[in-house]
Order: sequence, then structure tokens, then C-alpha cells
Amino acid sequence: MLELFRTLNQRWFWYSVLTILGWAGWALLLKIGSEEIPSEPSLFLQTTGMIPLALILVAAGSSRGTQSKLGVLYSLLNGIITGIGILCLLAAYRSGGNTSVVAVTTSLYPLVTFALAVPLLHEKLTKLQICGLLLATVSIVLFSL
Amino acid sequence: MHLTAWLMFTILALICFGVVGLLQKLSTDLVSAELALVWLIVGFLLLQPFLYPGRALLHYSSRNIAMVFAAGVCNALGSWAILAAMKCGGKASVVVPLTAVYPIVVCLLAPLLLHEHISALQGIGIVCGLSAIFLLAS
Repeated sequence: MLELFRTLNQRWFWYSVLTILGWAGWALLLKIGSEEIPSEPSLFLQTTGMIPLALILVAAGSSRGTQSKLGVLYSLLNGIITGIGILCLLAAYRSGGNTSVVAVTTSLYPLVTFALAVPLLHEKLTKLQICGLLLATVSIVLFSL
Repeated sequence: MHLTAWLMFTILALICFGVVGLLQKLSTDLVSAELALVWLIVGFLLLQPFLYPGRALLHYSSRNIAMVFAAGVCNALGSWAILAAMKCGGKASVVVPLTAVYPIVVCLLAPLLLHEHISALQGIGIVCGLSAIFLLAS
């Protein structure tokens, strides 16, 4: 319990909450707006919608700072691989994949991150956090059904 | 073993989304969350030529175009926040599953905004997701 209160004072936790709110807004607006717009034009428009924040950050100078080439490469790959993932997802639906099976399978991605982060980033989770990871996975699977 | 096309694409998508969590942490270990977001968006933009719908865009209602555009703004905000969470010391293996439960908020708001009902499965999903947040934060 003490650990929980300690976490509530950590900035990373509240940034995570902001991510949840941002992505929930994304999902809701997409649900409303995608009634007549197919996936690929929708993805084009969404990506265009991301540009203003990038421009604001560049204009405000917030994007300056340590210019590690490797850091930039990882960030660039982050965008490219996310895009490829989305294109693969669309291709899976188009090539006859059962919607539920595709959605449930791809929703297991936190397990892949966990499987990579433990050996490559040397991250360790407590038993309670591992239970949390599994419950989060169950939750995401249920939402994608 | 024969992999059907859809299964191969599904597994590729799963791997891509999983690897992204790792890259988010690796990038914010070296650069600011803001710089990481700018380059992430540049990476995203490289795919735009493959997605450009041409004149078909003119056939959609301006209301729906505005909604999807606003969805992109929210996505950028969420992406910046997850990068900031990792920059502030959040572990990839904790932050990624924690933020992946965002459908909880969607499920809770959908009855109000979209007049949808919460199904029993979604109800269980909300309970599991909230418990997961509690456990991951502990």
C-alpha cells in the first residue's frame, strides 16, 4: 500500500493517466468520425492530425535538447514500425482474418513488450505487477471481443 | 507449418506493437519526450504516400474529416504523454500495459456520448483493467 502511495507521487504515473485519456479521446473521436471514412484515408487524416503538435513543439523549441543520433533513430523507427503494424493489421482484416481473432491477438502486445524489456532493458517486475500485467491483458482481450 | 496470410499479418502487427514499447523506452533514455514525438511523427509521415486517398477525401463530410483529424491530435497527445512517462522513469513493462487499458475510459464514456450499452464482458474488462492499474502502480 505504501508503494502505491509512493507511485501516486511519481510523474510517470500521471503521464500514463494522460496517455489513457488521450488515447480514449482518440478512440471515441475515431468511432464517431469513421462512420463513412474507410481505414486507410482515416489513417492518413489521423497522421495529418498529429502534425500540429509536432509543429508546436518545434516552434516552442521543446524538441531541442540532447541530439543523440541513436535516440532520433529509435524515435523514427518508433513511428515507422507503428505505421507498419497498423498496415499489417489492416492487411490482416482484408485478407480474411476473423475480426475478433485478429483484434484479440494484436491486443496481446504488452506481453511482447514485457518479454523484450526484461532481457534487453533489464527491467524487473514485482509479483503484484506481473499479476497486474496479466489482468491488463485479460482486460484488453475482453474489450477487443 | 503453413501460415495463412491473415495470421502472418496479425503476428507481424503484434510484434510491431510490442517492439514499439521497447523503442519508446530506448528513445527517451537518449532524447527528450518532445524530440522523440517529433521524430515519431516524421516516421509516421513516411507512410503517408501509401495512404494518400487522393480526391476521395473530397467525398467525405467535413464533420467526419474534422473528427478523424481531432482523433489524430488526441493520438499525438497520448503518444507524447507515454514518451514523457518513460522519460520520467516509468518502466516500459509497466507503462505499456498500464496505458493499454484506455478502453476502460471509452467504455465508461460510450453510453453518454455514443448511446451504447456496456456489455457484461466489457463490465468484467473494466473491473480487470482497474485492478490491473492498481497492481501495476503498486
